[in-house]
Amino acid sequence: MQKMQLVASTAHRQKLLDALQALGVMELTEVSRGNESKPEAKVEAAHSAELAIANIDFVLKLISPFAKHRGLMDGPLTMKIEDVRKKAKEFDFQTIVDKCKSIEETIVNLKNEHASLTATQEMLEPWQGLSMPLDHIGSTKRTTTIIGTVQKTSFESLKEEIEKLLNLVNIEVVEETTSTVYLALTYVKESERDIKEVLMMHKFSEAGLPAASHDVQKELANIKTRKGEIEKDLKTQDEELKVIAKDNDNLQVVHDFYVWERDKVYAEQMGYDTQYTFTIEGWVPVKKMETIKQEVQNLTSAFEITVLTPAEGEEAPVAIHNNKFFDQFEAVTNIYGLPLPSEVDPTPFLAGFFIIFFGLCLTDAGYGLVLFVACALALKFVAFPEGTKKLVRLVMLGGVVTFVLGALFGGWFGMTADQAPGFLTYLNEEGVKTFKFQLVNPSEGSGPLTFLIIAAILGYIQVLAGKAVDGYWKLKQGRFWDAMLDSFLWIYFLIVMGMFGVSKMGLFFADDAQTITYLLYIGVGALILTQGRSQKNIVLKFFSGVLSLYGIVGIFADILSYSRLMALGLGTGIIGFAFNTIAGLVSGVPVVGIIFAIIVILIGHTLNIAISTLGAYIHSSRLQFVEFFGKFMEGGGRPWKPLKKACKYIVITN
Amino acid sequence: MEIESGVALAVAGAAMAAVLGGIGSSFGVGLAGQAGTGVISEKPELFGKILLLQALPGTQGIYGFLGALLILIKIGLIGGAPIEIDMSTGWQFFGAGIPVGLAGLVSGIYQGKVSAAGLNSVAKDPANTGKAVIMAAMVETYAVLGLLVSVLLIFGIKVA
Repeated sequence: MQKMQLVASTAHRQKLLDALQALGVMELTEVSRGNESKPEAKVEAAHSAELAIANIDFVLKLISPFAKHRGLMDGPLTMKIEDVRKKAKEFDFQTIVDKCKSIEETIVNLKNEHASLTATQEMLEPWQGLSMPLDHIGSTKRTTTIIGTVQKTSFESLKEEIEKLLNLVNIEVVEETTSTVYLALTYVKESERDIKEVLMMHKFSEAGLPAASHDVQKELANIKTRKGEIEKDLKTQDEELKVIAKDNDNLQVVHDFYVWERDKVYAEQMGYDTQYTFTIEGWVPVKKMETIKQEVQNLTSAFEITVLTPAEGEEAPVAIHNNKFFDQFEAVTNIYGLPLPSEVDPTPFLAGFFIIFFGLCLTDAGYGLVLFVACALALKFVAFPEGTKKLVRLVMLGGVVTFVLGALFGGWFGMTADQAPGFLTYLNEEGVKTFKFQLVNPSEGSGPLTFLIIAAILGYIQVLAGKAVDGYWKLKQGRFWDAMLDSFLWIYFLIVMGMFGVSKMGLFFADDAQTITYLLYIGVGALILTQGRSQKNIVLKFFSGVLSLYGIVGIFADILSYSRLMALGLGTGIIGFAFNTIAGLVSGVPVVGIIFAIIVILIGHTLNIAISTLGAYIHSSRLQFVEFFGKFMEGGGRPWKPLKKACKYIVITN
Repeated sequence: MEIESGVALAVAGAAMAAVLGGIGSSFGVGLAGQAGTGVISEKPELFGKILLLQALPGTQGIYGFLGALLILIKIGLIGGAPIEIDMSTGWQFFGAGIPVGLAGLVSGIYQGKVSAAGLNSVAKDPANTGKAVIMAAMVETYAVLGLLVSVLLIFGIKVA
């Protein structure tokens, strides 16, 4: 990354920004403008673009249920930049926005009314038996009528007590449910106080109904009619939205266009203007400097491009770039995040390990084949976005590796050799049926141990590789002694440790045990003498050196962590085997048994592939992030975000 | 008499592996599911990612099931004739069921908690999904190791 400054005539600003945006190779940074504040007009321009985007978003959301959406197979809408611009000029989205706003308001009002009518309806329903018109509830000159509910258990005593109190009272039972009695009560006003007291004692709760000159039945009928009208109105609104939804594609195009416009306005704001010129600054990949120069030259001759030295403490953004083969592994790196600008891109280094680990976590040739075919078909027929495409390509490659490793470990859909079809197996020297190409049988005899040792050896190699990458990068940065003492010394030590281990076990180098022990002493001595070199005090130097030997424990723990490869690999096979066994059991059922068996096999293996692939991807990634990256990078780089024609809905073609 | 109790112990070991792992996963998937349903109410378009995070603590149950099944196959209760097992071997199978069961129980619950917390960060920014998944998978390591030990033990136990 390089920091670049471009100065040109204000007259060409729009043209230049547009060209830069189309190239998408420059991340703009704020040009220092001292104490001056931003010019007012530009803020307004940004707001108007934001408003257009928000409005179109609103319309798109409103018409979404009626729009014809593109299927997975169709792929996104592809367009040339020129056509997008033309469409945005021609297409009158403002009218649609206004219309949608009014439709939305109508819909909200109608729905609110509908809801409140439903509430009233529910309130009225128990009172259907009330014989008087609704406006008779309340007071006349002499009497008062109230309605309300009381618990069924207290109704009898309530009635008795009221009737005892006075006889100028009328109690009408309107409705009775299992728990509640609905009453209408008419009494003379003079006894109001006494009656209220009795009512309160019996927990009578007064009901309020809407006023009307007719009875409840009529009111309910009215509500029903009105609700019908509202529902019809809502349908009409939907019809109108359906018509607008035909412009879904156009609206999406205009949406993306205004996103570009907004980004350009923001870009303009980052720059600095004099009377006749404007200045913008930003980060550009070194390789793209020429491209920018060419492009600007095509548009104007009055310009100046300079390379700036970044200010103290200003950190460059990071973009990783890999060739056609390695770029699919960026899907792994991107989960962790980017390296710092001073660090190496780990993608090409993790690639080989990741894909082998992935295969080992599955170790089933059949599953590998399924993954490969499924991903290949998906790539052919489904239009994935760029990031997802990398992931699918990676899993496809993983399928190939899984196929090979699976064959070596004799994994074929979790079958045992006896269950497998004849073309996959042969009789070995001992007359035992064995899979072709099988080198290790992970579920029998010493097989699991062999698998575990393979996993540990791979871990050992990756730990060494991590240290080697660290050393390589330090050398490249000219930190010769750091590379030698922090990386290569450890590699030497770990290799000697490994040799020491195998010679003690009597596998190799058994005769050279003495020499190896000396080599080991040299390593320990060198570590103690050098690892504390950053300390000032000689005693601290020594103790730091001794303490550094503790790092071996960490490395040992790292290597043990790779045993998960074996556990997951074994797990895949055993789950598959389990489903085969279950299928075998149900196939014994007469007539339908075979159908059940097929269902168990299909669902079981699909489930197993899904779970195991997920586990394989996650755990292979984790081994990179925790065990491998830790040896040579810290991460946390800020992703490079160039000014570009960012699209949510469309894809730009040339 | 002696022989039968050996089988009973082995079966108890298998049951323990499946049950403890299953309990761990039930807790875990349940916890993550509760958090996930909350997120769905706000952002239904994230369903796929949420489901992924919810499914993660489910592996412990599968590992437990796997351990149980291996024991049952080894003692011939599935796909073969039951073999005679003495008390000592029965205890060995019982012990072999413990690592995958207990490690699954505890790690399932905690993985569920991490998944649920991860769902909150996915709700804020769906780009966090990968990171949230890896965080949850860190807890799973110990269930994997438990399975590893159980499998090695079961393979290693000598039966007549």
